[in-house]
Amino acid sequence: MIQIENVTKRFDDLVALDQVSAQIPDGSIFGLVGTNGAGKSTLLRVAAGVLKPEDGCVKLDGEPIWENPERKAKICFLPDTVCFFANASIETMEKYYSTVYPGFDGTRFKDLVSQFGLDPKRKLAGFSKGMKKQVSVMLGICANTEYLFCDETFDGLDPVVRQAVKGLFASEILTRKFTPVIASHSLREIEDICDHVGLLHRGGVLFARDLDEMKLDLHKIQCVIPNPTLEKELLEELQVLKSEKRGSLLTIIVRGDHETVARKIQEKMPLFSEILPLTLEEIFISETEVAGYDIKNLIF
Amino acid sequence: MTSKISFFKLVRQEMGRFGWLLALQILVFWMLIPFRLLVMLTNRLDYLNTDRLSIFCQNMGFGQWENTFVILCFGIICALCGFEYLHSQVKLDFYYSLALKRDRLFAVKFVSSSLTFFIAYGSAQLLGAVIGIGFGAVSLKALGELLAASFIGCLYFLCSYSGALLAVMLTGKMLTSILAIGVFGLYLPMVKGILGMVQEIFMPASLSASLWGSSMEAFLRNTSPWAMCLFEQGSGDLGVTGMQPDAVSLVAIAGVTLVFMLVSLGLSRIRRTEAAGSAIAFSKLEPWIKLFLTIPMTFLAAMFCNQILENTAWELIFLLVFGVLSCMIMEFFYRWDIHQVTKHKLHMILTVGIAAVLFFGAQFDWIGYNTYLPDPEEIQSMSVLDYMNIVYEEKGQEGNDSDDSDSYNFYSDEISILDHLEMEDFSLIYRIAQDGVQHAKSWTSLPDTEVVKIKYHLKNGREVYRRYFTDTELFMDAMEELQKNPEYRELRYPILSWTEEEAGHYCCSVYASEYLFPTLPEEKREQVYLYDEDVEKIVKAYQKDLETISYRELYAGPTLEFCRVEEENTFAFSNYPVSAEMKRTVKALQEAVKNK
Repeated sequence: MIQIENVTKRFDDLVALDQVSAQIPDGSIFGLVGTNGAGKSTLLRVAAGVLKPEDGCVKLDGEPIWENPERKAKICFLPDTVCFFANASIETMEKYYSTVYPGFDGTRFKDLVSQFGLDPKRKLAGFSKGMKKQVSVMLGICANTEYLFCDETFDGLDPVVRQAVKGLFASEILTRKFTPVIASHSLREIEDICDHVGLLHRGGVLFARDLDEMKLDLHKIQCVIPNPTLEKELLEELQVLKSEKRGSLLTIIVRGDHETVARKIQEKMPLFSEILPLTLEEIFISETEVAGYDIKNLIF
Repeated sequence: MTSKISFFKLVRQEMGRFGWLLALQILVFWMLIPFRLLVMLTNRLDYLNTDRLSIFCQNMGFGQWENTFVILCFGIICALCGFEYLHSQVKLDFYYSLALKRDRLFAVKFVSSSLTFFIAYGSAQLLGAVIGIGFGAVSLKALGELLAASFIGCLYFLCSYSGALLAVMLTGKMLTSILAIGVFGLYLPMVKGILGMVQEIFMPASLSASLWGSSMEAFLRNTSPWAMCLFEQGSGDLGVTGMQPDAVSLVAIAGVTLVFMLVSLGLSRIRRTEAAGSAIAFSKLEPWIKLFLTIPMTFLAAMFCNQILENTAWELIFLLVFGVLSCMIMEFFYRWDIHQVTKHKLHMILTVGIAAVLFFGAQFDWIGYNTYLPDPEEIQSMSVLDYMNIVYEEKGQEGNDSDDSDSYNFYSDEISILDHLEMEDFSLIYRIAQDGVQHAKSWTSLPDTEVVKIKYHLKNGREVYRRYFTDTELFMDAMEELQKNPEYRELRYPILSWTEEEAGHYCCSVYASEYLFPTLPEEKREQVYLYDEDVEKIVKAYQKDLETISYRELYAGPTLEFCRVEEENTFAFSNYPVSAEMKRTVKALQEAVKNK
């Protein structure tokens, strides 16, 4: 498990991370989301041992990662711009990765390269951004490390490859000890792949939680209750995070047990009622508004 | 348990990336060493009129300036290539995320980039040796010299590498790294040059003020790791052909290399990853570096103005304009943004202020350097050196710096002569100094003055040397009195203490000039060398003449010639003036020459 403990990172006057604490449980797919400049990349780089925090530390299995080769050997970091050497081909990078990641699975890599239809002898400088991303993901997966830190990895991948990569992640989780940590500015992009999510905003973690738990606990309800008194009673009885009324249609986001919420709505004799699944975006809006953040301006 | 990254495998991988660098070095070194040797051994032997062994050693032995220059260049290139990752955020993200400690990564990069040189240079030397053996141009000693020269070449490479590496560590961009290497190489010579100019222009009372009197090599030596290697002078002992390296210099070069390497390693540990892309990796150093660069530049501009305009108002304007301009240039190099060149106004104020204080302080002698005259109570001893002083040449082997207290070189070592002539009874010398201080601000010769050099040895151990113009009459009177002092005479004329036996060890040479030998035919006017009994007679005569002759008679009268007395089997010699008043000496010389 990776523990991020009160990490503060400054770049001159800019506080990129301010007392950030979070946990990344093993075996999960952890999504790190936030706006541009929220500190996602910085947090990943601190966690990968690239940057030294001014305060706090990141621990892996109880030991600090910074300048700790044993712990760092369990991590592969794929930054937003992956380092490919000048004039290097896929084969060149494979050789290098097999040196620096002793557990590198060359056979699997060759299979993946073949499956993705990439030419292993072609120079990477001639590859498109998306193809380079594909190569970097393949290198990262085949490095066979327990943790794979991906910074904006899905950015540039076409939908088909994106699904394929998601499938690869799922397959890795099933077959070995594998915890990908994916940083992205897009909530929608990682909604269907991550099971744990951490939201960063202005250098601080708003929360880090299991996504399903959040979804089970939060509900979006659309209903029409003809009796205004009953409608008012409903809003008082439920733990409403957000409500909006357009004409007679009441839309509310509430926290609570699904059955209890459904029963209480039915008690108010609605003409129409529906409990809808929440998108990750809506969950964040709700949660962050509760936390006092004007999230509407943050998420897009 | 996770496997560790193999150091050697990683070095091999990294070397694979430096294939182009290896190829370039092989090309250059092979052309420079074995190919050149082959050309010279096959085609130029007759033209050069020298033997094969000499050609071999001239190409590959000690003191190959061209080889050294190329080695130093590759030292810089290898360091820049090996550690260029420090300037790239993308590469740092990759390398620092690997399961390697920074020290180990440093070692990998250092070894892999250095090995490219060692392979290329070593193979070139080896190939050269093979060619030499093939042509029968090699002796065992020459091979030993080749081996030693190869090790020294590697040391020069490491020295150059370490200097460039330190520059890379301190900076965050390739361009600023290259500029930093330039600063490392040129900053001290520039400061030394400026100080020399200050001494020449504003400190007429300084002794040996002539910076430019010394050779450029001596001037540049020890100002940077590259200069240390380029101007390594050798011990004076010959190898097969070239000059053998000086062990002390080599130890100094190795020491500098080690220090630079250790400092670089230390910096690599504390260097912030995010420094990549910044001009300077350690932001706290930035203002100091800027000041250390802009102040000398501003000062230099003011010196330039002083030389062409000699006007205080203009000097002030130059200080202001060039101070601000140098700060703006510096800021531009740091930010690469023309809009931010005036950002640090405090820097500009400090630059102009400090440069102005230093410049006007030197110009108007605020510290009283030129007019310094210690109280007699503070002085333990003094000495004086006039322009007519005897030339004492170095004793010992040619090229050797001798520590022998009896040996001096007049031109380069006035200080040693002054040290030798120190007297505790210094009242007469002090009188000369007092008069000299009156003219202390004069740089050029004044009418009816003599140039003298004075040393004050203070009771607190401090030694102060000055150069003055002093009134000729006053000086002559003082020297006349001083010459009567037996202690001074013995110090000033070592020849006085020679016994007959000692004199026999010397060779005496004199030019058969028309002043000394008016009747001698023109074709015989040449340097005449005298030995044994002739020398004994001349020395004896000179000693007697010196006992009776006054200072004025010796120096104010016409000097006929200088008698050069040279110790046998050494390169040591002294020149003694032969005045027209020295009848005995003139006679002894004439008789000796006549008998030749």
